[in-house]
Amino acid sequence: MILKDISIGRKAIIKKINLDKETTWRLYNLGVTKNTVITCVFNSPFKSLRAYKVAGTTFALRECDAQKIEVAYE
Amino acid sequence: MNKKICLIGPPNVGKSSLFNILTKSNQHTGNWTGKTVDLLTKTFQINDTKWDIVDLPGSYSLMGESEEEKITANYIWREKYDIAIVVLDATNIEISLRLLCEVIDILPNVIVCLNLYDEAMKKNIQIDYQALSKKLNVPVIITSAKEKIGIDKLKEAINNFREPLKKVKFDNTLDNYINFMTPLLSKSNNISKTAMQLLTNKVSLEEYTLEEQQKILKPLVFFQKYYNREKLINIYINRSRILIKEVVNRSNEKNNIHILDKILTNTWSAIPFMIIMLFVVLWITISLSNVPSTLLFTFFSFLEGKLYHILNFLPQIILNPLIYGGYRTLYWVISVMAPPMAIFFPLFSLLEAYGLFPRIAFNLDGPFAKCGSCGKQSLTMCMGLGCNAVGVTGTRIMENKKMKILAILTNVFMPCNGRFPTMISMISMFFILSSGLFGTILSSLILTGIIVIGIFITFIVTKLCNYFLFNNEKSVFVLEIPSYRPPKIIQTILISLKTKALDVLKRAIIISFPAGLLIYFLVNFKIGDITLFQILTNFLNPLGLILGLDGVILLAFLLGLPANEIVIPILLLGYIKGTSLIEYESLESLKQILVNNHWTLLTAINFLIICLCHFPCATTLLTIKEETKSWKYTILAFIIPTIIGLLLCLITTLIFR
Repeated sequence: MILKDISIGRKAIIKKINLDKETTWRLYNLGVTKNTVITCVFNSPFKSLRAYKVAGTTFALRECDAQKIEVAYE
Repeated sequence: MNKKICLIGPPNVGKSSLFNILTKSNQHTGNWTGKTVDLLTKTFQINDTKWDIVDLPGSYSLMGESEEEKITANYIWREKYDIAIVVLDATNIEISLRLLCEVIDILPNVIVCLNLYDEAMKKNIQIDYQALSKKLNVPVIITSAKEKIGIDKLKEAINNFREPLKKVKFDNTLDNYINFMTPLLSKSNNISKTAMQLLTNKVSLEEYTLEEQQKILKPLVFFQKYYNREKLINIYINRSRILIKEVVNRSNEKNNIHILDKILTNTWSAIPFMIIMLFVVLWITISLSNVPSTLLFTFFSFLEGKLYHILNFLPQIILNPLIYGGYRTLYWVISVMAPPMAIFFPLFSLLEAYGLFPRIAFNLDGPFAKCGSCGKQSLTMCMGLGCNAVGVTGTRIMENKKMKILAILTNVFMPCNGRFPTMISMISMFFILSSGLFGTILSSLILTGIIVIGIFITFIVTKLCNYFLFNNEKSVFVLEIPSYRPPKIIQTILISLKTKALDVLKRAIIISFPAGLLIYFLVNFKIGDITLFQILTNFLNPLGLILGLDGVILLAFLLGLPANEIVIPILLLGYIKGTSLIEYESLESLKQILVNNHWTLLTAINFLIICLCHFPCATTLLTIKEETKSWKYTILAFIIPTIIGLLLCLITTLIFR
């Protein structure tokens, strides 16, 4: 399944990141790497992006980018 | 010679706050990523030793590729320093640990500062810092820069610091490489640093003979292939992950979503809440600045008579321009601009320090995405509300060049602190008659409305510029959302007063006095029967009348190019012809001057429109030139808002007539 589809509040584990090199590196910097636990915390009012939490970092990704990250529920 | 310390750590972990406390200085800090871009050095003293401390830009990794990371890495690799203090965010230690692992592999002189420890405790994140210290063989000091906890301990650790005798233990996965290189690099005083630098970075080997260099570089090619950047990154990710398992326990962490986030990001309440916030900030600004403004006004106009009297020995030809030109403009700017600035800037800094702005970016990304930009543009707009030049510099945070240009071209649609006090006085003169509670609420409402209109214009112009200037280039948008941090109120207020408000005010004051002299000269210098001022206004008047304005207003805005603060005083000087002895006693008397010069409601409305939509001030234009390195965009930034302002005025005039 993909990150875009996980429901709010449920924990999932990142399996694969299919984004370009630069973005993958930026996500690395936020602590978003393969095998880390990720939860979706809230939606944005215009539904264009969602906020996710990995360890101590909260960050937002657009739907179109979030579908390039593969996850599985814990 | 002073000893040297550098502060290194990921963005937004409180390096600047620590720097401020240690050096007792007032660098601006804020709760978002990327505050510190330049290298700051200051000196402080512990006992008898003087230390120079350098605040390095936030960096996630020494192998990073952002501008800030390159600056930091360059410093770490090449400069000499006695101690490197690695600052970690205890609430988010996972990110910081990787950087720490990288640094520890190459430097023997590290002190770890576990900042925000009190917040981590509050959130029930358990960190065994003693184990961390033992595992890495470095001193670990727990601090809270905000509460000034642990600062003495940190100073003590700096004072007592001795390089550990035991060599840093290297990561096993790199053992082969280091073992192989060690005999070859015997001339370097820090073998592991040189070895790692050889892998990731260019390094000069001038202390080695050519033959030795050959011996070093030959195997290096192989190692560089094997330990490429990705491999190294993975090594450090794994290493920090093992460390995390050993020292961090998040199982009891409180994971509640902050109540503010629930309201602020909810589909229904988000937009109203943001508008209310804006309104409240403006209302506080307007209602609190009323009284000091009037007081300053009374004081300065009282002084005017005295000053005139004292300087009476001067010939009239010098005295009059000094008092009625320079001095009047100056005291208008001070009494009308200073109080709102002194209230608005600190208020805004408090919100910024608390961490509200990234939420605004989060909320507004949807509409901005449709216009070809991203939510971060709203951050640059927030900065623009303070000062457009600052907003333009702030566009460095944008994701790519296209979005940066879009943000730059539209920043002027946020009325800066030089303009909205002008708007406030116009609003209270023409639309609101009472100055009581009701009056201030109403004028704040109108001003909020104007800013919301500015936001809408921003959307439209962004979309148009994106359509006409760029082909559709997409980029991934990642936005960090920091946790809320209640700021140190008094400190934040003082710092923002000192660094931001004073800066902007100073610029306005420096420009207002000569501007006043110039306008006085224009008003009084005659060619034949007619003053220079009249020649200019007569020339502009036809255009002004078409737009529902007049020549004086247009001239005031043109002459206000150096700083928008001086628009109204120029206007008044123009109307009272500078020679008249009417004093600006109150807003009512000002209104009378305007009405006597054929001002109507339409004039006032169009004045507000032009105030919102016209070319940016000279400082902002220079900043745009510097940021874009392009005349094309600088000229566009001048033309676009001006055309829009003129068009809007034309439309309202057509509607009114």
